[in-house]
Amino acid sequence: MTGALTLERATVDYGGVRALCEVSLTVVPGRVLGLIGPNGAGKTTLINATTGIVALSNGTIRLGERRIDGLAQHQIARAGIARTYQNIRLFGTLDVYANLAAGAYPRPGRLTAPAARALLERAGISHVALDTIAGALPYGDQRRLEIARALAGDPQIIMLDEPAAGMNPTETARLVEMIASISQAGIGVLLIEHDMTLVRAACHDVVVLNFGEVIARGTPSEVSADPIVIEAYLGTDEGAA
Amino acid sequence: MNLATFYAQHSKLIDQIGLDALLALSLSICLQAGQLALAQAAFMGIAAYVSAVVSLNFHWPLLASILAAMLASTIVAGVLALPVRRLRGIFLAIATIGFGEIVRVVANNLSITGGAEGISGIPPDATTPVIYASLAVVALALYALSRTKFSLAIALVREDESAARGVGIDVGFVRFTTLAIGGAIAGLAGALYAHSQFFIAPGDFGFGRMEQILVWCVIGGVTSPLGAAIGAALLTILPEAIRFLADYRDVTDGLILLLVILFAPRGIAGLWRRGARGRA
Repeated sequence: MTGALTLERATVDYGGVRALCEVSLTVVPGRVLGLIGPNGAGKTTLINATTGIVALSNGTIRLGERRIDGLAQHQIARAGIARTYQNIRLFGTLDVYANLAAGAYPRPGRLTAPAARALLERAGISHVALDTIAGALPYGDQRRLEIARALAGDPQIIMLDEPAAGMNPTETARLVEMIASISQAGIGVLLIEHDMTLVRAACHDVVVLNFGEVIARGTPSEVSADPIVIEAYLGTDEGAA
Repeated sequence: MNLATFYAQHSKLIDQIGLDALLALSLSICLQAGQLALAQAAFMGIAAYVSAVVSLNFHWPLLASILAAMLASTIVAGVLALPVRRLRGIFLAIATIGFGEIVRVVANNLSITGGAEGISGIPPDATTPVIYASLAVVALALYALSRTKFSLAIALVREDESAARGVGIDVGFVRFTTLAIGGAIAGLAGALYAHSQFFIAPGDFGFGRMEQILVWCVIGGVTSPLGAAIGAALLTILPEAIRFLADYRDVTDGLILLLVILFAPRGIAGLWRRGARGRA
């Protein structure tokens, strides 16, 4: 299948610390893969390795047939991998349009105003004006603008790093719908999330990381029933749910 | 007083305003990409010496000497961009100031640059029309650049290099290109300076000059090329307009800088943007 993101035995070392240990997973176009695990499990490291911010010490990453580990960050972005950040990283002093145009930068030509509005619509923030300064938007809108920016580049794969952080239940429910529509458009989604309710609602498959290693994988219900996962991560949270 | 007498009395000042505006533009392009690269005076000096040497020793015509000077300063800027590519903010500033000092010291000690005595007898053929035609060409080129997608890349690099990489921007290329463009414009100013001064010496291109250029850009508004050019014009005119201040130029420049940083941190450009928003 073309356009799938495949990590094979991906390993990352920070000095003497092994942050990611021989992780293999595939993000398939049109499907949502959840990546869960306790704090420090290596989830964000996996995104950073995929986007070229940190180098692999072993293993490979491919997009379709093309090997992308070792490429520069901007080359990986241009290859069709977009992301959002755990702590939102918009271009805060620029307006909404410029942020969307930034996302669309690798594509030929200029982002038109109607195309920009269509992106806002897709991200569920059509009420936002294009000339608003991005940093002045309410928090939830900033999160969704960041997703709109990621979509602007027409990516094959989109990686969302805790997109529901700081959102209320209504906003989270809309986020689930948005993620579903993104994957239905044929984009592969990797979703890092702590909220198991959101993971169950949004993901087709789940990979569980702990101490940089994959400890379980399967459907959301398989994973949340797995005793190893419950012990390592879900713990009392799961008992309460 | 008619226009001709006014020009006759003030032609030196008018020329200087044009040159200073060019220098401000050359730093402005670097600042727009968020690079506090303070080697403009050195690029200017290198170009001034190259144009002086080819004019005096090889009798090159003005245009050829300007082009040779710009080529030299652009290459030097491009080469300098490589070792400083990992430096940001204050570290980049210090490294580029250091480079400027090296250039000044070298010029002070080479025989081809005339050492501390400098070079004199440069044909004064960079007249007011030549200077302002050059300024117009640079302004037009920068305006054309501002209409391209590349200007967005420049702004994104200034805002957040890492996020810019994340959307597919080759940050290294943007930094290299803006430094090289800055080097080219500073080189143009340097060549014109040499050909309007008759005499050049290493002290003309030292840290004092660099600091002035930076002050113009801060006063004009660091991300606005037009603001930077206006800042240069204002601070060049001010000591002439208010004569008793001329002896205290450094003091008044410093005072104005302080006031701008305290009360209008976005400079002149910020003031008129605020004005535009107020009216809307």
